[in-house]
Amino acid sequence: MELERAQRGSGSSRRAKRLAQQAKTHPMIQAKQNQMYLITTVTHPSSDTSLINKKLPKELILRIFSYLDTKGLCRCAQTCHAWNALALDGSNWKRVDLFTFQKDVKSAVIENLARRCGGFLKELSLKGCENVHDLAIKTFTAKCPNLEYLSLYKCKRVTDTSCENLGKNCHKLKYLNLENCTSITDRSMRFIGDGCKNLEYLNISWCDSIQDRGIQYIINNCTKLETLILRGCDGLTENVFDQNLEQNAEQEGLKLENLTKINLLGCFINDETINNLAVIAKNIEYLCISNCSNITDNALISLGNHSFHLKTLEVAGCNLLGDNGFIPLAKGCRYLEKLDLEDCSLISDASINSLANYCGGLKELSLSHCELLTDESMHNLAAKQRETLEILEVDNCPLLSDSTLSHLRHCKTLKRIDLYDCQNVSKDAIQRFKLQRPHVEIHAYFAPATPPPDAVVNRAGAA
Amino acid sequence: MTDAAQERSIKLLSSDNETFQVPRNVIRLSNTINTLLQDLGLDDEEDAGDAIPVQNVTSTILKKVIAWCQHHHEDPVAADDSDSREKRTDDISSWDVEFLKVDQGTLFELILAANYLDIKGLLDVSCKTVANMIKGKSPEEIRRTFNIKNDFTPEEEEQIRKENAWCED
Repeated sequence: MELERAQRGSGSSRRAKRLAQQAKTHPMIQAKQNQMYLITTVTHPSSDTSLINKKLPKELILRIFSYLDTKGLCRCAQTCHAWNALALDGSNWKRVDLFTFQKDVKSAVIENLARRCGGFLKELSLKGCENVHDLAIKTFTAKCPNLEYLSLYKCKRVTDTSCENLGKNCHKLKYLNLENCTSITDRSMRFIGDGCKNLEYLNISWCDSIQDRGIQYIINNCTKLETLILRGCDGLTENVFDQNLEQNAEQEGLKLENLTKINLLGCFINDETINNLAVIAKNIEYLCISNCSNITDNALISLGNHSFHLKTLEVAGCNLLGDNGFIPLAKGCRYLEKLDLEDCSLISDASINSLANYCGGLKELSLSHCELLTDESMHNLAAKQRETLEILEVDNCPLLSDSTLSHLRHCKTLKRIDLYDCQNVSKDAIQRFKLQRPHVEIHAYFAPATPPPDAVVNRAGAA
Repeated sequence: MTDAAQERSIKLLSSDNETFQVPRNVIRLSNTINTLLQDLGLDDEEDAGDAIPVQNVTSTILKKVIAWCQHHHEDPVAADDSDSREKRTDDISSWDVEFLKVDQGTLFELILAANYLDIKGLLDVSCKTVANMIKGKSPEEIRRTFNIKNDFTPEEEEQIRKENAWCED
């Protein structure tokens, strides 16, 4: 390269020649050219009259096919020999989403599809196919053992038999969504726990027949589990994460190292449940316990003591929570980024001040209906989190005034503020803010002035 | 716009020997050119140097490719979503729809050029455009659209029709 620099200017044409040479022999370009010539000439007989088959190599036609759904592929398969081979290529059958078939997916479709996909199928979504039943799942699990992703969201007819077949055949399963599959019970959890050791994501929201024992099977056996979504699982009790609940006597001191996201929205749990969870799942980053109305400050103290990696906490509607919980939470969980405290109406400025002082990077904060908050904590929040705060929801916080807005002006990363029903924030203050920060969305609503009398007359006339 | 790197330009040589001067930050959308410049250690040099031969692309097509890059070079970089890519084809911007209103020959040449130069955005949008020409059509309509010769025997055709009938309700 040194030599080349020295020659620059004098040997420009020589250099051009070398550059052309280098480009020609550059391994990546060489490979691309070889690939193009080889494939174009091998795949299509020269008798083919169509421009698309003459010009495009197999890979690029497959790339076009990758945008087609099942129906489109089946139609391409019927056009000519070359496209038949391409349409049936395994690369097209790795992901199948039957959402478009909706309720009417017939067993013949399932049978054919499962046969066509075979071992290629990795992702199957039957979301919303409400009439899909166990037989269809049996067909898929038998023919497509390499399944890694399965969504049976709202497939209400699916029973434990489907999970039995999954456990028996699909050992590579990583993602399983059974939300709203209300027929499944703890037996399903046992089959999954026994057969699907690679499971990373499980959603059994609203499956209210599942009890504590079912969850125990899963957490004792699926040690790779990262996400557990249990929204509205009414069959669970406060003992769901108890350490000594049957069978794991020899597994004393169970640790769920990989579990980072858990959602317990609306479950009948209490402070002890959260304490148990915080002890066994130390790496938890996301926790939703919104609408768990028995939760008190003690749960937040447990999180502050154990869950140092917590980034997102949703406790909307947990209206027993107060400053005695949020202050220790803020001291322990310093990586908190997103908090939903809607309707935690007991909290005062002290909670927000602790969060603002101890947490290094708050991004989203929902404080709707936290009616005791005043401008003081908003000033502190705006000052301490000015580099990170993006979304602030303070609707129905009646004590906040224009002064809050004038401080928020300095938050550099702000994207949205919700101010509905903040009666002490004036229209003028919002106008001023909009002028200074035109890219920040402000959601506010001011009831229109009483309509003038003639408008009323008009409406009456029209009717 | 005083930044030297922004003002730098690169020369590209089409297969029919026409030279195109392109701002460096416009042609950055081509991974092939990026890799080439880096591997040859030319990315830090200030003058344009010599033209890079783009052997598989004619001047007509190269002109269009550069126009596309010119329009899109300031787009936010899309995350690498090759795995979670959805099968949507209805998200083509109106500018791109107009840009790709060309004859089939040109469209396929653009796909080849985008593939060769490794310009992901152009490759995606041009492939989607062809997919849209297929969608909703019967096998016979697809054949007519692309001038594909039906090389099945009647027996084969019937057999294949049966094999694929399940997807039609």
